[in-house]
Amino acid sequence: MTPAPRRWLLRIDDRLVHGQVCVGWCDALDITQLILCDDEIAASEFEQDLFRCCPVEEQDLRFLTVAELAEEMQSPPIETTLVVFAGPRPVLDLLAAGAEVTALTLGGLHHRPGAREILDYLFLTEGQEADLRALLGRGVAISCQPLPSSPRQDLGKLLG
Amino acid sequence: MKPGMEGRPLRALLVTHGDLGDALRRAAAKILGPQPGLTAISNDGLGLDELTRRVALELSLPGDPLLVFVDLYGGSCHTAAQRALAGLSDETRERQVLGIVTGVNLPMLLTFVTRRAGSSAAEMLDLVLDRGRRGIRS
Repeated sequence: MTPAPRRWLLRIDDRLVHGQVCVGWCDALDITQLILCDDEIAASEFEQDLFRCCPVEEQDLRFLTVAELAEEMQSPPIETTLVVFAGPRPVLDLLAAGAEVTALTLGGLHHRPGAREILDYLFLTEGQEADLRALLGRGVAISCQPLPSSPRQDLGKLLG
Repeated sequence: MKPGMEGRPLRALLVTHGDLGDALRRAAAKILGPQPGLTAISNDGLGLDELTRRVALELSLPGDPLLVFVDLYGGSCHTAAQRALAGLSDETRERQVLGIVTGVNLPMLLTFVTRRAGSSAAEMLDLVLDRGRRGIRS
């Protein structure tokens, strides 16, 4: 069996690095490196310590700003790498910074006041919906899938 | 006992995935009878910010001191509890919160309930960790 190609996997999840990501996704896809891409967390030692308590500690977890990630994404990753973002805006910023983004998965964007329900784990504010439509318009394939075992749904079709 | 906690009964806040916290609370009541001062928060349907907000609200409400139990070390419940704790004023934290214990199980919750009268904060943390571990055998 040939090993799976090493890839950048991008995911939006408002719980960031947590049980579903560390246990569910990393085991299923043989992910050995995690990146949390968030400018605020990249600047806070306290926040980084919180996310370093990963339930599965075999993965390498790093904290990058959007600009740092755009730089790294100029070449393929050394290991299959899952990048987690808190929302769609930093992904748009990543494109603006010159990174190539072709696919994106939405995990949870949970209920908040003023957000519209798309799926039971996906609630979008007007700003987030506009950002996601902009990403679709830039040719990014966006699918919604909370767990590796759950069905994958195409965001473009859901938004209509 | 931390200053200001003397003589006050302890409460527990269970922050967990799914219905685990509430189920643990009900299981403890089955074994020991109805127990006041046990509150459960589920992360169901909540992002990290909203979960943190709800935990912070529970921690900041005036009341007897709380021990926070979470299920999964490093999971969203743990992250939210740590963020909420860090967001309290030093004074509120000292007065209200004993600490956070991860890997909550029924033995540690039963120990908490039966020993919460008369235990100091440090004793209680040692006790629940010890009983929680001793309940795991083969």
